Amino acid sequence: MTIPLRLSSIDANSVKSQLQQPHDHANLRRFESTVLVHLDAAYNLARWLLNDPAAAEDAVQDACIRAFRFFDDLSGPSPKAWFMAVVRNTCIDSLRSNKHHNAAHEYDEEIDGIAGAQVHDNPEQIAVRASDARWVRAAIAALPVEFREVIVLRELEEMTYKEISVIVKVPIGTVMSRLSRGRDLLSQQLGADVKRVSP
Amino acid sequence: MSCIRTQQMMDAWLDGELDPSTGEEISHHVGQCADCAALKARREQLRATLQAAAPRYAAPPALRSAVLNQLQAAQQPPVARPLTTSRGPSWWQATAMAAATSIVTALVTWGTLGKLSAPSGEQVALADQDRRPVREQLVARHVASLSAPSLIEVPSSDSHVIKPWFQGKIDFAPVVRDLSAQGFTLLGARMERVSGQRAVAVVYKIREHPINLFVWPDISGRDSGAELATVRGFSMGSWAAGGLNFAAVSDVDAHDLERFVMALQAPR
Repeated sequence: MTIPLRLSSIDANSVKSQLQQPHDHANLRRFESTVLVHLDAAYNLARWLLNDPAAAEDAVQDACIRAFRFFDDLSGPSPKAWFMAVVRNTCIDSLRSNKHHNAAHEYDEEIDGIAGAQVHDNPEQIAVRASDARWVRAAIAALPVEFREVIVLRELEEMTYKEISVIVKVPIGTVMSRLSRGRDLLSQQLGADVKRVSP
Repeated sequence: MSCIRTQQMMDAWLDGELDPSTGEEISHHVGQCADCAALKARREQLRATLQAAAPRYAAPPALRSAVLNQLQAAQQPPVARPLTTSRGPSWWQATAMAAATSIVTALVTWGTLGKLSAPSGEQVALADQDRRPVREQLVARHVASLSAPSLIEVPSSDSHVIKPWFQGKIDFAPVVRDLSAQGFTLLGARMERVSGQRAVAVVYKIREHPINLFVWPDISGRDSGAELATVRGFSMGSWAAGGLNFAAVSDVDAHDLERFVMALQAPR
């Protein structure tokens, strides 16, 4: 149904919004097909970073609105990486504002960056405990956030180092060393728990 | 290729991020070095563990529709809109309206909620000490209620606890429904006043957002369909049924409030 517009009675803004509508709707459809298709990935990242389903939903909603507002600025290696960067920023803001940010541990590339090979746990022992998914989840949740985010992006979202470096805003070399360190910490955590439980 | 160099690049190699020639050097070293082979085994074990036990959380189905609704709403100016597709007044509503001129003054209190198209000049007839429009009052009461401990006077998630608590305090019977299946947790209730009348507020919560459902007697006694509005950034849904006025106020987005209103109105 078309509504004849009496231009004399309509101010400039409402005319503008009328004219923008078809563009906006096309824009929203484009946003759906390029960005919102990654909603599961966005929620997964938020869920792991915030450790809270409700907070993750709120953060993803905020991130979607932010992303839509800056949709024209979409750039980088992939739309997914661009969107995930927005989601990650929103989560970090949320952590800071809630003072949940307990990663007081400042990561030192020089001291912590070399992959430690001091853990010598029996892989079979690890496998037994690893069957307990809660235990694995707790081990990931206990990681400082700068390691947790790269582990989630790599292991669960299977993103490339280049994409991760865009999302986390660090050089690719730092992505590599954080992944190494994060995996060392996880292995140690899993191994230590095995030692504590096993005779 | 040294052990330190191999261990530094082990992850990039296993993640497929290295060029093939460097990868071959590492592969060669790992084949000859027990320590580096052990690191490789630990990494492979860890990956298997994570793939088996670390869930990739999927977005809840409601999240996608909530996002889309919010984006659509963001494109349009927030204005009051009818919840259902707009219909003209039914014959009895039209008849009632025509006959109602003598009681328009009495209706004005509720009319300021925007459900009735009463001429604005008649709104001055508010006899109450609180002359602000009802919508403004409700938002003010909602905001005031959020400062503890006034939000809830009878804390309970059981409607059978809350309903008896009202007895003797008010001369009407508010609807208190368990909407936990729809995601709205019943928190409790408290006494309220709207336009100088006794009212109650039944408090629900979705995620961490409280929803105040104000209920007070409807002078006009006419049912009216729900209408959604945004008042100073708060979502509000108001309707009248069974001789009672209802107004839900919250900071949740309009979509969630609409769901809340629909759930309350759904037949039992």
